[in-house]
Amino acid sequence: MDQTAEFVHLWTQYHRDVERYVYSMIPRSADAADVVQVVSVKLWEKWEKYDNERPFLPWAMRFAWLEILKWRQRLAREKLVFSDDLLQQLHSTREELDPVMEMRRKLLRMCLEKLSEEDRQLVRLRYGRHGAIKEEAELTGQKMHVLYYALERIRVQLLNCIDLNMNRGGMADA
Amino acid sequence: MHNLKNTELDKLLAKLVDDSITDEELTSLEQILDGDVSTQRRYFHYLDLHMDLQERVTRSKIHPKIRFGLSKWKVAGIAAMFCLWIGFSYFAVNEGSGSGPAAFARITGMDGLIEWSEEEGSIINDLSVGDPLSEGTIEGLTSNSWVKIELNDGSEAVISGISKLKFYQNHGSKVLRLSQGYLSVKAVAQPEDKPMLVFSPGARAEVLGTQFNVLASPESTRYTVNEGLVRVKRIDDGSVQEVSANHYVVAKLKSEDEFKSVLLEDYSEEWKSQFPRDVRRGHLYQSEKITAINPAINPAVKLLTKFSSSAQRILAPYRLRTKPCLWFEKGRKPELHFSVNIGVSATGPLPVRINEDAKFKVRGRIDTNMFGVDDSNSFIVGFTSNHAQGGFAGKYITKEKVDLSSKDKNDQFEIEIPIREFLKVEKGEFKDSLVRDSSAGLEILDLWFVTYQNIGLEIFDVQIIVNDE
Repeated sequence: MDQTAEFVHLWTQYHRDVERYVYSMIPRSADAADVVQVVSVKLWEKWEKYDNERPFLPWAMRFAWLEILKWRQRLAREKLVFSDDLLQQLHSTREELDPVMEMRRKLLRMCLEKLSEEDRQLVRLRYGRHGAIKEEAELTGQKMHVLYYALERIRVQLLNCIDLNMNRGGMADA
Repeated sequence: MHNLKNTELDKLLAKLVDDSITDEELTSLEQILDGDVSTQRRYFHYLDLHMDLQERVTRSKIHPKIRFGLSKWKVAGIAAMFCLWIGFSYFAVNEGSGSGPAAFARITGMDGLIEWSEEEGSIINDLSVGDPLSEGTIEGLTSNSWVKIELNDGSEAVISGISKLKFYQNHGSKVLRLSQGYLSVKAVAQPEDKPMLVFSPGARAEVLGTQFNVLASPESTRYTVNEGLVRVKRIDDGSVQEVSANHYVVAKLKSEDEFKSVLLEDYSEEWKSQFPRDVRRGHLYQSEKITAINPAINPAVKLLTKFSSSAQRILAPYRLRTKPCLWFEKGRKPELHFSVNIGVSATGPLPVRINEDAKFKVRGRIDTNMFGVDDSNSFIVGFTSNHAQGGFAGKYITKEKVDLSSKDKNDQFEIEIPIREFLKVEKGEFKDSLVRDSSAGLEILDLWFVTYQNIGLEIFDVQIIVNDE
């Protein structure tokens, strides 16, 4: 596999992990998307220095962390960013959580099946298409905030279901 | 106490992921997270759950092994996945199996990155002409993507640009759901009791056999009918318009806007960009000049401008600045680009057709402070075109150099580019070529500006003019 193909292959395989990480540190999707974009550029620029004996993801994550810090410095005066100190704390906590994240994602599937059809439909609307919740509210005459409150409840229900099953399996992280 | 803290945390996180968190609430969130590892864990789990739901719903079920052979892979396309950033929803991994259901359609033409998700769960992005498709969702992931499919009854559908079309059969009716982008349909005669159904934001259409185009944005859909008759229902208030040949109708999400079939002659050959309406890619910002003059009136002015477009004019105009993207093309190493994309027919109220004497008038700025050793004051301008009767017609580009010699212009420029300067991009097996081919009479969907170094290119506005006054 040539160098370009190998880079594209690895980035395609792992870029969602990088996105998840960046989004958790920069919880504004537009900004997070920009930072991930810059990370992809940096990785390509440094690609010649990549040691393919070592795993790609930790290498990519290091670049992501540096770009998060740079982004933080640029927007230091804005209110909608976390402090340096909290970012450092989150970074450490996130590293500890890596081993359990994959298991939690698998459990989510099972927990989704336990939701009522009505709740599943609401999840589909919220995450399926921009503006669908608003349309649903207008169609059914419900208030938007009622639907968002229901979504808040559903997310907590799913989190609790995952926690419960993690505990049962002896894999609790908290 | 622990539960109370979690309840408060969950409320704040819900607002965070729904983009409705305030400065004060973010400060509260920060206080809850600071120094408390257990709340930090919940924070990560919550955000991870949010992203997981986004992936699962967008992609429903996705096969663990994404089928891409790099030798065949449309490398050009994945690039733009990075560049155009279509949310956080691609290449998810999940359990599931593709069992190869019966073909509902087949691909008869395509270019750019096209991705197809089967109802059964597989996601495939190494598609080729001739591939059969079962019921599922087909997507154009880049602005240069287009795909033509033929349904099993001989009807044809083309999507182009960043588009998403779900197709399936329901009680004998063919159903097309366009959630984003551009769709052109040539439907063969359908059974009277089982019309083809087309769903799009704010509208639903019934089709018995016709040629029509659908342009969908999150807020509205425009149906343009070239042959036959399409019955379009606006979802918001249930009102119906019968759109006959050479007419179009725009259905918006809100019913206070006019919903009326209009003669297709109503197209424009001149156009002026309006930000933020026409922004499809780029950093949009507004200069803070006014706020600097009188900080005391800021809140009032800003509030007023939310409700009044005339009030907006008293604020400094918008500027659209390029965003970076890593671009891959067949046979070439990835390149870093900086680009903006501006909707023309894609976002405006009327289709805009190209007159052979048309010119683009562009006002903007290049930040010469950002110049490095080999930077230049040039950029690429391009546009996407569709045939007036629907369907992707091609991409056209040209290279422009601006004169920044006059220091008193503060790096600002104003240029005119005749439409004749644009060359058509012809796709080759390994390389694209540029050919002189008139775009007159085509509909211009969007236009973009690209630089290869970050020279801080900003676009203030763009006009298409035919007769210079």
